[in-house]
This record gives sequence, C-alpha cells and structure tokens, in this order.
Amino acid sequence: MFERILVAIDGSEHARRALTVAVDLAQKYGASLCAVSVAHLPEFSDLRDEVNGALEDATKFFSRALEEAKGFAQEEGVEIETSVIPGHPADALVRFAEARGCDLIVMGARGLSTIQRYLMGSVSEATVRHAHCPVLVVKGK
Amino acid sequence: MTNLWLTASLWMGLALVSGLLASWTGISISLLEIFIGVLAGNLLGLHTAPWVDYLAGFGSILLTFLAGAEVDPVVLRTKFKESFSIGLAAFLLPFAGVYLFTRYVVGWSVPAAQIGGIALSTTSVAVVYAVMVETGLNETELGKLLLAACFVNDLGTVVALGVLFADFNAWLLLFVAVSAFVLSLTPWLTRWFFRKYGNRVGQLEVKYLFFLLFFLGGLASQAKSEAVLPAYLLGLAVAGFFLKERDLLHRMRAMAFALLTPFYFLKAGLLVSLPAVWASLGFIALALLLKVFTKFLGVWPLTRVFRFDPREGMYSTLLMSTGLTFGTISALFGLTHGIVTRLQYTALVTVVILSAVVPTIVAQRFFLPLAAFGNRGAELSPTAVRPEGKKRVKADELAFEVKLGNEKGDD
Repeated sequence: MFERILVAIDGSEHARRALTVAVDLAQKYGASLCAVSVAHLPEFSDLRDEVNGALEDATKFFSRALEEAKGFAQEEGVEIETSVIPGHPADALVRFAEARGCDLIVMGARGLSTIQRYLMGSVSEATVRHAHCPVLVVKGK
Repeated sequence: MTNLWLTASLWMGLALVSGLLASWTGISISLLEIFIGVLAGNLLGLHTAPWVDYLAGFGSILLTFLAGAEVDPVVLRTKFKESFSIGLAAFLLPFAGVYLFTRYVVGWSVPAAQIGGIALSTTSVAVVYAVMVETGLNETELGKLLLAACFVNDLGTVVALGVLFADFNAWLLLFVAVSAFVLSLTPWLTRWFFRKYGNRVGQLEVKYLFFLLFFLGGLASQAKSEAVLPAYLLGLAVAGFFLKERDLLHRMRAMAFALLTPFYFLKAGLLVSLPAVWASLGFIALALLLKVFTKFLGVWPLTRVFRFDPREGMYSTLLMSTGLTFGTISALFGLTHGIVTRLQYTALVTVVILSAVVPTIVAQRFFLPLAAFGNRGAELSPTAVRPEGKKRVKADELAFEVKLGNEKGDD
C-alpha cells in the first residue's frame, strides 16, 4: 500500500514515537523511509549571516537525531534516507513529500494547549490540511 | 533609573525577551527587538542614554560592515551588467518617487524628503536571501543575480546617505582621500595582518577592524557624512577575505548580536511613537504602496529586458521591495541629526518594517517561481542508507539527545 514514507524528525520524544510507527509500517509494506528535519529560518531577518547561522545551528542540531533515526531504521532492516531542509515546517514537509513521491507522512503530535496552538500554530494540523497524501499523526505519551 | 547596571540589565533583559520570542516564533530577532523597543518606549517610558547611543551607533556601524562583508564579489562580477542596472533602478526610482511625494504632496522639507527617499529606497539582502534559501533559488542564476542587485541597491542607499548630508569642505576632501587610500590597501593589509597576528587570544584582527571602522567613521562624521558609508565600503573591501575566514565572521557576528545590535534595534523601536503611528496611518499606507510601485517601475521592466519569466520578474520585483536595516539606519540618522521629526521618523520606520513583511508574504504566496518547486527537493544534508543487518532494537533503546534549545519541527 505504501512505497515511500516520510517521517518528520525534530529530536523530540514525539518524533521518536512517530519514527517507531513509521519503521513498523515500512516493514509491513516493504516501503522505504525519508527521515526529514526542517530548519525553520528566521522570518524577515536582518543579516544574511543570521540566516546562515540559523541553518548551521539547525543542521548541527538535527544531524544527531537523524543519525539516530538512520541507525534505528537500518537495524530494523528498513531503507532510509535522511535530509535537513530549510523552510516552514508544514510547508516544507508537504512540498518535500510531493517532490520525492512520498505516499504517507508520519509525524508526532506535541499535544499543544488551545493557547499554544493559537500562538504557535499546529504543524501537524497544517500538514494534514495541505498534504497531497495521507498523514498519520502519532499521539500519546 | 540612575543605577547604571540596573539600567543595563533592563536593556539586556528586553534583548533577552526579544531573543526568546524570536526563538519561539521564528521571526527575526531584529524585528522583535524593534517591536519590544516600541512597547518599552511607549508603555514603560524607557529612555535612551549616552552609553546606549554609543552602543547603538556602534551596532549600526558593525551591522553595516557585516552586510558589506557578506557580498560575494564573484557573483557581483559575473552578472555585473544585469545586477548593476536592476540594483541602480531599484534604488533610484523609489528614492525619486518617495522624495517627490513627501516633498510636494505631503510638504516635508527638502532634507526630510531626502531622508524619506533614502529610507524607502532600500532593499533587504537578508530577507531576499532567506526566501531564496527556502525555495532553493539561491543556487540558480536568477537568485545570484537578485542578490547582487540587492547589494548594488544598498550601496546606492549608503552612498546617498553619506553624500547628500555631507559638508562639501576640506574635511570631506580629507575623508574621501583617506578612505580611498585605506580601502585600496585594506584587502592586502587585512590578509597580511591576519596571517601575522590572526587567531590569537588577544583578538588582534578584530581590534584592527574596529580601529579602521572607528577611524573612517570618525572622519566621515567630521565631514558631516554618515559613519555607515565607510563601514559598508570597508565591508566590501574585505568581503572576499571574509568568505574564507568564516570563523572571524562568526566571532564578529557573536559580538554584534550579543552586545551591540540589540541596543540599536531596541533604540530604533523606542523612538517610535504609537500615537504617531495612529496619526500617520494614511501616510504609512500610501508610502508603502509608493515604495512597492516605484520598485515595480524600476525593476520589473528590466526583468523583462533580461528575459526573466513574467512570474520570476514579479517575484524579483516584490523581493526587492523589502527593506529593514538600511531603512531604519537612514530614518534614525534623520532623527538624531534633527532632519526629521519624531512623527516623520515613526511613519518612516513603520513603512520600513511593513516593507520587510508585506512584499515577502505576497511574493511567496502568489508569485513563487515554478523553478522553485523543482528545487524543493534540494536539501541541506542528504544521505541515503541501505540496511545492512536486521537486528531488532526496541524504540526505547534509541537515545535522542536534545542539546540545542527548543524542539524545532513538528508537533
């Protein structure tokens, strides 16, 4: 049913749960995984170097989490590629999934309160709204 | 508050709050510092002080220097004709349009209208760059050309700011002569100095650059010119060197962002009067439209001449309508030199901030070039791995280490 699954990785516990589910699904369907982290660049920044600095920080931050994800998937016998992409989280995930022909997006849910969701926006909600393919939001403690 | 350290802690506390908000919202620190400055000035009654003015002034000089040092000389050389014409038109038409509007329609004085023209003629290299990195356009010919045009536009702005208000006397002659001499030597001298004294615990290369910035800035001020002009030119002179010495750039960035630019942006916001924003709403809307319209007149036809696709042309035009750093620097120069009133300053800074936000959103929402979608898959660090073994590991055994800040990404 699924051939290429995108799993969103942000270094959090929620992403770890999502990865576990994605690897399980990949095993069941013989699918490959794209583990993707999104480097959110500062909006309306003032120096080009501020943008570069944010990219460097994000790449450094996410590379560890992606390495762990890679190791886990490999040990489970699942083919995986990892990427750090710049952009707005939901937008970048949806576009990346489309560009790479992914047929499922798996991501964790942080369980934001109403106020937090209002202030910060829910990435999973935005992804569900805009994705061209099914989106699995992994909830729970 | 007369206690120096408590006052300093208040300012740094505001900078910290701005940084935290930036981290949570993803909006740039500078924009939030301006915003927090507006609130602190209008609601807390925070005032500036001579030592704040010094740090803020130093911040604007260092910011301009770093902006100049970010220029890629190779990019500027390879597409010189296109980038120069687009950059020049992107500066001249908004400058002339806003000058005529503020002078003859609104009735500002000649120098105030000049400040208005300069402040709204700017473009923001950083805003353009961030958008292009997100879309992958920074790797395309169009992206490189646009960035180069932005540098030319900013150069026009700092030259105008440095020349229009200068006293044409012996000091100016001395400033021009010394600057020309120093700037011609700087690329060679900097490489030599760095080779001989660089990377030492005493940070001699940083002191060397600060010395040059202060010295040329001092001469510029003496000639009633603006210290950011030699700072930008000095940045341009060492741009090639800085492309290789990333570590030095990072150290200078750390100094600027930690200690200097917060004072500059907080102060820029502090001087904005909220009642004046309300009173100038009509002007603000018109001036913003005028800036975008004159950028359109200056840039869009040239994009057609250079055979840009219409969608790419519109996208480029809107991105070149953005502006932040040099816009606020010009407006603040006008206010601190008594050229514009606080009402005029408020209106200009509000337009500058809106011009960083509105055209970017419109460009990304409606005119993102189709080429950008093709580049979406171009990521920062791709790796593809095939499994080697099939040993089962429980998910709980995975060790994710979160060392940097907040959780970035999905929820």
